[in-house]
This record gives sequence, C-alpha cells and structure tokens, in this order.
Amino acid sequence: MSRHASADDPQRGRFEIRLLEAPVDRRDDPRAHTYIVDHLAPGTVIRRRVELNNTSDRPLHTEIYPAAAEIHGGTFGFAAGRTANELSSWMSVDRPSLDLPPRGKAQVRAMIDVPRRVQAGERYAVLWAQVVAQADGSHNVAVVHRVGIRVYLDVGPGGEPPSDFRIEAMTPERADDGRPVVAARVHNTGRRAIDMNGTLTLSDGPGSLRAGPFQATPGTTLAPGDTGPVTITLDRLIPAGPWKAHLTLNSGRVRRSATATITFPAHGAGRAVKADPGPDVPLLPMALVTLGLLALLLAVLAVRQRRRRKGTAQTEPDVLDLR
Amino acid sequence: MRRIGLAMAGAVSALVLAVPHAAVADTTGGTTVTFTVAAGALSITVPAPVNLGSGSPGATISGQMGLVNVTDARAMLVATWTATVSSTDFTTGGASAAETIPKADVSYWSGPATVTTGVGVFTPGQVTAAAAQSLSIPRTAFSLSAGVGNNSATWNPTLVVAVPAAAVGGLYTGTVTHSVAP
Repeated sequence: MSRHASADDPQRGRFEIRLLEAPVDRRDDPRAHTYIVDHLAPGTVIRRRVELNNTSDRPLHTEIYPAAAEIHGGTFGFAAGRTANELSSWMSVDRPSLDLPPRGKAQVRAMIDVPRRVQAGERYAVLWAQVVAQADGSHNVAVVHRVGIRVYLDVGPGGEPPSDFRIEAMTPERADDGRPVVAARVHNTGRRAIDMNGTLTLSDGPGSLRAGPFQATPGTTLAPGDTGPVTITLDRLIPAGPWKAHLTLNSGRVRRSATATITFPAHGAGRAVKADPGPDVPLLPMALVTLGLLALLLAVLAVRQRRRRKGTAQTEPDVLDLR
Repeated sequence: MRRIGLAMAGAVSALVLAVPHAAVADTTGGTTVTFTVAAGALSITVPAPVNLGSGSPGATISGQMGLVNVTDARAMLVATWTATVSSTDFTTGGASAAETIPKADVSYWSGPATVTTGVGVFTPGQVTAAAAQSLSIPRTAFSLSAGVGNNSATWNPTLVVAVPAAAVGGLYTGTVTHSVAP
C-alpha cells in the first residue's frame, strides 16, 4: 500500500467551471442559470461564456471540451472520456486548453453551431473542464478530475416546444430505516426534458395533524415521454395515516400539483394511489373570470339604476323642450 | 354617467378575456440576448497521480488515491450532486491481451467521508472494502442529496487491482477519472 505524498497536500486546491450567461427570455427559469438550456432553429449559432476558476497556488493546465450525455432511467448520465454524440459534435470552444494562473480565472466561449439539416428534438451533452495528473516514473495511475455544465438543447423550427408533466400516482412506502417515503410516479408529457424538484405536504392526518412541507429528493431527470419516480422521504415520527398528501413538483417554470390519500405501511411498499390533479382550470384564471363576470354584472345594474333615476325626473330625456 | 358605466363594463370584459393560459408553450425565439448569471459553482480538487505499487500475476494490489474533495458553492435551496468514477484498462508495452489488465479487474471503494460540511445527506459510493465495485462501468464515487445551501465532502478512495494470472510483467499504467456534472 502506498500513497502519493502530494495527494494530501492542502495546497492542491480546487478548480471549477461556471456558466456566465443565459438567454434573457429564460431569466425566470432557474435551470437556465446553471445549465445551458435552449431551443434553436436549424442553422442557428449561439455562444455562451463560461468561467474557469483555479483556487490552488499553482498554475493549472486545463482542457475544456464537450462530450456526450443522455437521460436514462430517470437520471442525466454522461459518457466516459470524450465520447461524442450529435450535440457535442456541434459544440466547440474558443480555448480548448489553457493554463490557469494560480488563484486565477479565465473565460472560455462555447459555441453551438446547429447544422441546417437536422432532425427536430432535444439532445444532451456536457461541457467539461478537466485537469489531468499524468502517470510518471513513480506513479502508474494517472488521475483525471473534471467538472461540467450540462447542456439541454432542443432543435426545431418555430417556437419553444411545450414542457409539461403529470403526477400520475403516489405510493406510500417504509424505508429500511423506518422512515415513511412517498414515491410519486411522474410522466413527462411535454417535449423537453425536465429536472424534478418539489415539496410534499400532509394534511387531515390522525388527530387532525398536518406535516411538512418535505423536500422531494432532487436528481430525477425525465426525457420527453419518460415515466419515472420522484421520492420524498419524511420524518420517522410521522404517524402512518391515513393522510391527504399534497404534492407540488416543478421543473424550471412548469409547476404541477396533485393530491392522494395514503397510509404508510409498516414495511416495504404499499399500494400505488392514483393522484388527483385537482380542478382542470387553474385557480387564478378561474378567480379572475368570476370577478370579471361579477364586475360586469354590477356595471350593468349600475347603468340600469341610473337610467331608472333619470326616468322619474324626465320621461323623455332625448326630446328637446321647445317651449 | 351611462357612458362611464358602459366603459367600465367594456374594461371588465377585456379583463375577463385576458385570462392567462396554462404555462406551457413559449413562442419567443431570440436567444442571442443574454444576461449575466450570478450563481456559484461546484468545484473538485486538483488531481494527483497514484502509485499502486507492484504485485505478481494472480495477486491483488490495493492503494489509496489520496483525498478527493467536492465543494458545492451554488447555494441552492435543494442541492444535489453525484461524483462518478470510471477507469480505463491498465496496459503495458503493446497493450496486447496478455499486457492488459481489463478495467473490470479494477475495483474502487470510496470509504466513508473523512470530512463533510453543510447540511445534506452525504452518501459514500462504497463504504467498506467489502462493498468495492468493479469499474467495468462507471460507478458513483460519492453523492449528496437533500442538501441545503453550500456543502462539501472529502473522501480517500482505494483502488484494488486483481492482477490476472495471465498478465505479463511490466509497468502497467491506466487512468482513473472522477467526474461531476451536477
């Protein structure tokens, strides 16, 4: 057994890559602040600046390159090394390798050049920044560390395709450590990948108890058409139920909710309960419509009231009195 | 007076008609205008090469890689990251079959976290030597889930190489990669 001395050297420091800019029309999409997310027509070119930061005390030779990724089994997974796919082959950087000064930063411009003839659809890649520790005479294992920015690029004519999903069911479970878990089955009904986040609240429980909100475990990514689980782990002290579970999930700008009545089993998984999405018409527009109709009704009544008042004073207000 | 009443009714009708749609399609096309993002980043330690020592054919060589740290400075309300580890084959000379230790014979175990900071569920990829996983395919080295705010994890992983009985003598080199794309 042996260990390389400088592997424990605190001066080794760290390095990172960070997205510097995002499209203005995605300012309200939190995913666009950390990933390169876009919808482009064929034949379009975009450039995005990223920043590399070296916090170590030594200069760092860094390589920046795009490589393939895919969404599989509810996870955003990337390929080994510099494996290419269609999207990574459209990507390039203006500085594929550079020497970062000690405690220094550098900006790199990534470019995505979409060919004119491409099939419409969403593709995935990662823009990597990597540092290689070469093998040498006394070390036979080279070690590579790399950090990356995910790319979710949708290609097609016209505007952005819809992003949408449906919470289909909730299954109450009991984890091995005794904690109650809700496993929600989510179906991506839109045409863009979604990264799931959200919260679960329990109400109408034993003794009129309420609990939550509990955060959903992040990390589930669903490609268009995929169905996958999103789990929410609750506190061990929560009674078994029955509970009314209200789940709200979101990905970027899209938010959906559903409720289900569940009871946590003593062990393992209970039976899946079909989730109720609630009224089809969203609450806010419905309220606006109702208020609008009420206001209209009041306005009509007010007009009629005024007409009646004028009528008692003058029987024919439109006729000039020529006396 | 009547006109004002009618105008009010007209305005209210316009409000009723302007009901927002369910948030799905966004028809803007311009992506060339950008704004500056202020988010933090996730960093990983600068790597160092490893000396795995030597062993005879049929033997098992084991060595620690040194401290690996991932620091998440994105300050996210719900943070998650997964560090993946993968390996190449180890080869010597001309990399023929007898000069290759396939990556399936290379195993990795992360061990527990040596240091963690911040709030979250830190999960080592393989806590003990018994849980070591073969790097025939990429494996999870370490992951954080349900993090709140900034966090970091440090671990000292171990590489275990089962030298094939048919392997010839020589200095075998290979590359082990830690990747994070949160």
